[in-house]
Amino acid sequence: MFHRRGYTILINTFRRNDLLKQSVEHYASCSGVDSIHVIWSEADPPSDVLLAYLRRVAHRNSRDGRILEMEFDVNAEDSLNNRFKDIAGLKTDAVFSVDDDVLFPCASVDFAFRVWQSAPTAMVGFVPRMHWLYRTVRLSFWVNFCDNSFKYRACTTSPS
Amino acid sequence: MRSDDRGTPIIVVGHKYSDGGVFRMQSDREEYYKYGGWWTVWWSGTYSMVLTKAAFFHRKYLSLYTNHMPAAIRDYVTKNRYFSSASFPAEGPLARADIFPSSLFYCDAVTP
Repeated sequence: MFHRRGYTILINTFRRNDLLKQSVEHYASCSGVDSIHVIWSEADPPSDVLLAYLRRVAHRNSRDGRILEMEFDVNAEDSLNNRFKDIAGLKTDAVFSVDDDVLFPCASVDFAFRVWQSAPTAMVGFVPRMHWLYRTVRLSFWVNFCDNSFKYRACTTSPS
Repeated sequence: MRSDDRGTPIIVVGHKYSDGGVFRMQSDREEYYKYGGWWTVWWSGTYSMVLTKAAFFHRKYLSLYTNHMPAAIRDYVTKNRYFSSASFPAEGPLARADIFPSSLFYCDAVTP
């Protein structure tokens, strides 16, 4: 299969159509975008009104005589695994997975794409996290004083 | 032996005595990793992973995640609605250290 240059955007959304519209409008304007896939995990399919709106956005962002591809991946089950479900027929090697509530400037996305191209087997992301190694040492000790009669059991031989 | 005990030359006489375990010490060592928020990265200047909330990866990751990752991990993600970021392959041909490009971004909702 021939794989196009550029990148596919996977937008994970759930019951936030206003954010989804905003997100699609924004990322559709990025020059490196090849297609947009919306990961849909609601019980009801996307409404005709929403589909029509997003298609208009795709048409508006046509370039080189090609309409921006817009796909809905509708899932029956609501699971976080849906966002990484295998998608048959993806046209690009690069995938940008993003939640519907974050907007990165196109220049930053394109920059990250160039970084990814230099290391395509790595994940290149904007939201880093650190794991700290915690070491705890609990010391407990007790002294068993001889009672007041100065009894003892052994006597060490140094010095004696 | 007390200082006033005399007349017993057949025993060892010394200055240090022990009651056989008068002092005991015990240590419980525990090690674990704690998940830090964004400020830990800002504070330390280092990171250990990037989240898939906004990340580039190869499309093959999707196939690996869906078809090759143990089902128990996917079940855990579904059940707990958590930790999908940590489910990515740590071994194999697509296992390389994550890269973090710094950028400004706008967030409309807070995600844990």
